[in-house]
Amino acid sequence: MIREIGKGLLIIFLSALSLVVTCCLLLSLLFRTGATGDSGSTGQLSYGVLDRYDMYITNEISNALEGVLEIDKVYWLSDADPVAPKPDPSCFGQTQTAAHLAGILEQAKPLLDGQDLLFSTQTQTAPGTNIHYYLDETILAITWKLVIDDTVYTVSEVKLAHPSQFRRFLAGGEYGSEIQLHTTQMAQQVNAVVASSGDFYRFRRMGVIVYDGVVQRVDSEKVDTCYINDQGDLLFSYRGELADMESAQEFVDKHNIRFSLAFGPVLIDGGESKRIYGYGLGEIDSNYARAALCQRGPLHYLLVTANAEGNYRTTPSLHTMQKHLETFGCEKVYTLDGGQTAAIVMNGELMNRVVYGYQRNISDIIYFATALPEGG
Amino acid sequence: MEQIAFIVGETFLYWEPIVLTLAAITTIFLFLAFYLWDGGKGLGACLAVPLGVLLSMVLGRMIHWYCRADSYINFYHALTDYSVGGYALLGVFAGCFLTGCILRGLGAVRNLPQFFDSVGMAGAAGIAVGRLGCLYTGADRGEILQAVTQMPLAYPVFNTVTGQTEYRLATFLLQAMAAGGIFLLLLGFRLVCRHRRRPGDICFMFLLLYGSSQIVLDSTRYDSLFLRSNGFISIVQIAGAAAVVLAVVVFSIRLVRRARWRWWYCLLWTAILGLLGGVGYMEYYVQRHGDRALFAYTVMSICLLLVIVLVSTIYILSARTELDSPTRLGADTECLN
Repeated sequence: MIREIGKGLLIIFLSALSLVVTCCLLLSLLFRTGATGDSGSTGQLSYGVLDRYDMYITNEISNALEGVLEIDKVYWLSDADPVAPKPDPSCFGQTQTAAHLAGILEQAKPLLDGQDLLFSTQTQTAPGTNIHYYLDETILAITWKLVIDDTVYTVSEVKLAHPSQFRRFLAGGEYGSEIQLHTTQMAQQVNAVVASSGDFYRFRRMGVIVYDGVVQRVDSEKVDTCYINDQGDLLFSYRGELADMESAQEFVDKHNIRFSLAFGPVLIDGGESKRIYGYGLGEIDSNYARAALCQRGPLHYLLVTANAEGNYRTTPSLHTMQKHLETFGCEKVYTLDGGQTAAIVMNGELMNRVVYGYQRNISDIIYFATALPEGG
Repeated sequence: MEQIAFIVGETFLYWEPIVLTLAAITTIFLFLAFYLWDGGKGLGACLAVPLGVLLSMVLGRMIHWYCRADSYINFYHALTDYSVGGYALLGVFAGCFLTGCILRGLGAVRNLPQFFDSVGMAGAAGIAVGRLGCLYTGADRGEILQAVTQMPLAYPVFNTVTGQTEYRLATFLLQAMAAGGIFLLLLGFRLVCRHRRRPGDICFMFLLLYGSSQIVLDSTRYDSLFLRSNGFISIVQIAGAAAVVLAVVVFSIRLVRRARWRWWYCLLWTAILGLLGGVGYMEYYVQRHGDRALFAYTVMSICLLLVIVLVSTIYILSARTELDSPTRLGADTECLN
């Protein structure tokens, strides 16, 4: 009898305890506090309200004094802005003949500021392909295809007016987002003039990931990392150079790094080709579609992909692509994720023939945008 | 972008956690109902609920951290700060499994297969409710649909970058419907086949059906969880395939033990292997030819349906053989413990 009562009391006690613990756990599931809000952004190009006001006033004065006094207009973008201004549709164009772009190249001279383009009116493009271009006061972008050793290279040459126009976008709009999208979808979302697939940082945990001026992740043992600073220049760190978060953040702060790309390897640095002996990513000795980011000079870039297309059925090994890119006269060349990931998009349209003919969902892009406000 | 349900002082209550909590409550009550109805011990039920909830939350969080480490500062942050990140449903399954094993070890649960039967049924209902939490977030969606803008195929998502509304495949809704359908099927199986089934059969049927549904549905998501070493096949698809294979193996072993060996069993197994291979190939195919997703997913679904039919056939054959067996009488008394 006593045993039965004791057993009953124990069950009641355990039931009550179980109920209380369960309620506490369910309440902890229910009452999630709101997001802490401050993303801790320390982006080097987060201009304040007064800076924007300053830009606006300068440009308005320039407009008012047009014909009387030459004041250069200045347009720039803030890294804090999720999207760039929409490009002017009338500034896009296409042609099949390089010679037809003579007028465009002439108009772009102030923007080029004395720099030579890889593209010229003599450029031999792949037969039957179009040359796409965009030109406004702040950006010149020309995309064309050429054939080298039975491989179709899609090259997008870009010259910017301001480093803030070279940007990075992560699917979902924030670092660590679970979302993956097509390169064309992301390019359209951010109003890119021209965009390329990035390093697909969500796919692998290698390299030094910097976003918005903050080091997010460091695992530099096997890969080289490419950094973009506040002047729009490419900087590199090689395998094993930055071993921990502290040294990486120190590097980022010292060089005013805005964001990084983690794939590699570095193919050309300071105009000199690097010897590549094995690499942790990208199956460098096999034949695959490839992608690369190149810098020819200040605010002067090339986005390059190498694909099999049409009658040209060869995809290059990394060493072969490096050899071909040496002829492009670039100061710096960095390999991006190739294979089905490699994509160049201009005006929302896919420029290269991606592997299998269908884009892969990826986590990020790099893109070049106009800084001209919408409506001019 | 999560929708806020209520603001109480400085505390924000979001709709998604409310729905998840309702799902947890649904699961708990259904588990208690089924488990106690089947003669399970009250002590086991008392201990199972808080332990199961705790382990599910912790393991769900751990698996989410493993797959989405970039969403957290570090592992400790993942387990202590619940204002960021999320949970992996796979962790809930692991939590429930671990709970059963611990209670069995403590002697609080005598019939572990019966315990898992109750968990499986309750879990199906809970998942059906819990998936609806994605009505208030942008998670668990598929590709943008141009031609369809209505439920259950499409549901609007607010794009936080552009500020525009996109109509995407409502994967979460399809998952909720699938889980609801699985619950009803299991309920029917439980009621109709009361004398023919053994403890554990409902659990394996749940694994077979739910695992099959997730192989297809998780492939359509744009925010699947991947292993760190492999970004092609999601962790949910891998677990789903493992669940299907487990059901095949268990029922096959039972069939071979109960009945004499028949040569055509090999045909059944070969067919199942071939169909699972077809599913794997279509997953490979859809990743490369996403524009033919409808074709690929249709073939995947047909293959998985055929797998379910074949596995059910194996189960029915083994159950029928068991019914005819003179040892069957003893099995009934086992269930009453």
